Amino acid sequence: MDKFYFLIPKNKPVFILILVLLLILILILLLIIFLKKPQESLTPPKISDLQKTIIGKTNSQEIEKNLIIKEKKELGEGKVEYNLETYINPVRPDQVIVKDGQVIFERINIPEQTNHPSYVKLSYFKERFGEVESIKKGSKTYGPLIETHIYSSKGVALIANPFTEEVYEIQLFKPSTAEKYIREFGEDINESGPIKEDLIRE
Amino acid sequence: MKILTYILILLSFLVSPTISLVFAQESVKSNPVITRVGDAPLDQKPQVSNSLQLGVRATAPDIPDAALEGAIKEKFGITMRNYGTRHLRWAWEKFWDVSHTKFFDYVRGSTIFASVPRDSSQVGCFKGVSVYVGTYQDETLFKLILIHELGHVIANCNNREQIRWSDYLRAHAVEKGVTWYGNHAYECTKSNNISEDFAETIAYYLNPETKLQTVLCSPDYHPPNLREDFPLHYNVANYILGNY
Repeated sequence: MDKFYFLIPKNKPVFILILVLLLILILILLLIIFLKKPQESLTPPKISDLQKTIIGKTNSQEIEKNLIIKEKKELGEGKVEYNLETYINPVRPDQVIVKDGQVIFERINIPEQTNHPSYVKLSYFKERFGEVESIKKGSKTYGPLIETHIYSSKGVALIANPFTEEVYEIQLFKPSTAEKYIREFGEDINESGPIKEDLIRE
Repeated sequence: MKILTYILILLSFLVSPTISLVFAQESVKSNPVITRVGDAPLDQKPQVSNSLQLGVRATAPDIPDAALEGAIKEKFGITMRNYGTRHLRWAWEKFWDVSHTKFFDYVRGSTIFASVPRDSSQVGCFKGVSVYVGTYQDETLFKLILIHELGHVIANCNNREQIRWSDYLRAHAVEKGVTWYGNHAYECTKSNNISEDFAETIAYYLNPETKLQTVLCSPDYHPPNLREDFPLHYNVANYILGNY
């Protein structure tokens, strides 16, 4: 025991100095962790095994080399849209949009098989990200009851069925605001409400 | 020397968990968190039915007018609100007509509310009102639109796997919509082609003899022959519902 006696502080000013130094060290470490976060938020988190790109990192050359492209469209303002070969949904295929050579958006169709590893429901995202930041009801593709759930600060939007909770599409973009997402990538949103089908002339 | 040892001991305690935490976060970021069991192949081929067999269609038993609403609820699990005797009887007959298919596996629990003539829409699933169906004066029209609106319930209130949603999307991509409405839904009612074509597929699969078409917006009056002209759509409907 005697050999550890030096751990017991005898010189109070020195002990206080050590404590202050340690506190400074802890603060520095916390600052390092805190400062790392804004960099992380530039890219949405890894969401699905079906994800083919990393927003802000993957470039056009990698897309053209590694993915099966069905259609390539120049959108203007340095943007290029790639529609990919998709077995799940040929009506609205997986998509990647590139701006100035870097990916800014990815759309992933989610399989319907409930035992598929990438099948996912809304509850998964609620558990992972918390309450959804914005919900827009109505889809131009899937109908007036289908919703877009937007986690804009995470760079994630989901097109989903609120009744079955099934996620039809995951969309990834650079974290921003819901308004910016809707303006840039929310072309499927259609908030015109339930359709009144004046179907047949009598 | 003592001071230095002191600092080193304390630092080792403080720094190592912090580093571990940082590494743990990196590890979570680099690995997908989604974990599921099973691994069904995505490229499952649709089950193609070549069966030409028709199901055995049942005739509705004759029951008193006053018993219709209760009998529909009891027999088919469908609640019908605000309808008069005539429309209740037509619904009773149509429901019996499709009762040998799997139709009610998907729509049981729906509530159908009578709307003013010509206003029909799906507004929900199995809580509150599911669909509004207009009180059309023509029996064939009423039965066709009744099934069309419940076709929306099949699409929106059941898991996509149950209704072979991807097979349907591929059918739509290849054959386009089965009616004018299924191809021009936005022009017709501000709706969308995918949703309306699915409902039209169900409606015409279960009403193959009808001479009607969604004519309000359509330039022609030819009802679709699913079996002959839209075999992929027909197969999806046949898979979902069984033989009609």
